[in-house]
Amino acid sequence: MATKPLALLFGQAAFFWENAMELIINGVAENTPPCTLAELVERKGLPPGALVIEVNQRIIKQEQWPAVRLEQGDRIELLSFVGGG
Amino acid sequence: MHNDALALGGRIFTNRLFTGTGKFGGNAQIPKMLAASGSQMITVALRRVDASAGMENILAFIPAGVTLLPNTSGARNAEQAVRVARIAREAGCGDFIKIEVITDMKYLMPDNWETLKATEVLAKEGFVVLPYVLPDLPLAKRLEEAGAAAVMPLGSPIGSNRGLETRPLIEMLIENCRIPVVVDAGIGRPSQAAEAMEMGADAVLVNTAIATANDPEAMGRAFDLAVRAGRAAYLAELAGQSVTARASSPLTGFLDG
Repeated sequence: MATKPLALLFGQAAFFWENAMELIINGVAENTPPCTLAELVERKGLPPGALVIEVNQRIIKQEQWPAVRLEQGDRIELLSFVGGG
Repeated sequence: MHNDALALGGRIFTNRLFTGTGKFGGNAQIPKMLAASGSQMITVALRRVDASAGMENILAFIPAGVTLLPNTSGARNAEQAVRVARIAREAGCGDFIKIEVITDMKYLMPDNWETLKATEVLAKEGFVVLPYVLPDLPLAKRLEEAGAAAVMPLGSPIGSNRGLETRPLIEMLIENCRIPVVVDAGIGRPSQAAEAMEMGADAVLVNTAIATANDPEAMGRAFDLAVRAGRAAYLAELAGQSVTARASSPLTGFLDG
C-alpha cells in the first residue's frame, strides 16, 4: 500500500524534473515548471501595475504576458521604477 | 512671466525647477512637494525588483501633467544607458531621458565620453536627451551637435549640497550653448538655486536638498521662490560690480556750508 503513493510521488517529481526549466531571473538561475510570463509574475506575488519586464532584452508589455511561454535559459528582468535623482 | 516659458522637447515649462524622487521619507511626500514647488518635471530611476520587499508604484505618486524624466542611473557605459532609456520609453514613461553614466563611485562623477556616445544614439531614436555631465565646453558643443535637448552640468557632486563649485565652467556653457543649460546636482539650498538662475541657467534640477529637508513640501516651495527670484534677476540684468564704493545717495552735502 505504501509503495503506491511513493511511486506517485516519484512520478510527479519525475514529471516536474523532466519539464522543469532553468530561467535566469534578475541575474539568478531558478528552476521552475513550465509557465507563462503572467504565471511567473503571479507565482512571485508581484503587483503587475508596477512591473516592467524584459525577456532576453526585449520588453514585453503587460497585455502580452499571458501569451509569452517561457523557455529554458530565458533571461528575465523584473524591473520597476523607483525614486531617483 | 508666461512668455518666459522654457521650451524643451516640444513641451513648455512655465516652472524652471526640476525635481527628483530619490531619498524621500515616503512616496506620499512627492505629490505634496510637487504641488508646493510647482515643479513640472521630475526624475525617476529603474531598478530590479526585490521580490521580498514591498513594492510601491512610484509613478502612481506623480500627477498627470508632470513630465517624467527617467534617468539611466546604474549604467556604467553608453550601451547600458541606451538600454535603460529604451526600457523606460517602452514602459510608457515618454521620450524624455536623463543620461547618467557613472563609473566613479566615490564622487559619482559622470563619464562624459560614454554620455556623449549614448546621446548620439538616443537623439537619433527620437529621445529628448538631457545628459548629466561634468561641465566642459567642447563636450557640451558636441552634445549639442549630437542632438541633445539640453545639457545638465553638475554644480558639485551628487547629494553633496555644496552648491556651484563649478561655477566658472557652467558660465562658459551658458554663454556658448544654444541648447538650454540645466544645473543638476550639488545645489543644496535655495540661495544656490537662485545663484544659478541669476547666472543665466535655464533651469535647475534639485533632489537631495528638497527630499532630505525636514519638511520637503516647504523646501519645495522655498526652491520655487528662489528659482523665480533668480530668473527674474537674470532677466532684469544684474548691475555691475566694482572694487570701490559707488554712492547711492548724493554726496554733495549742504551740511558743510
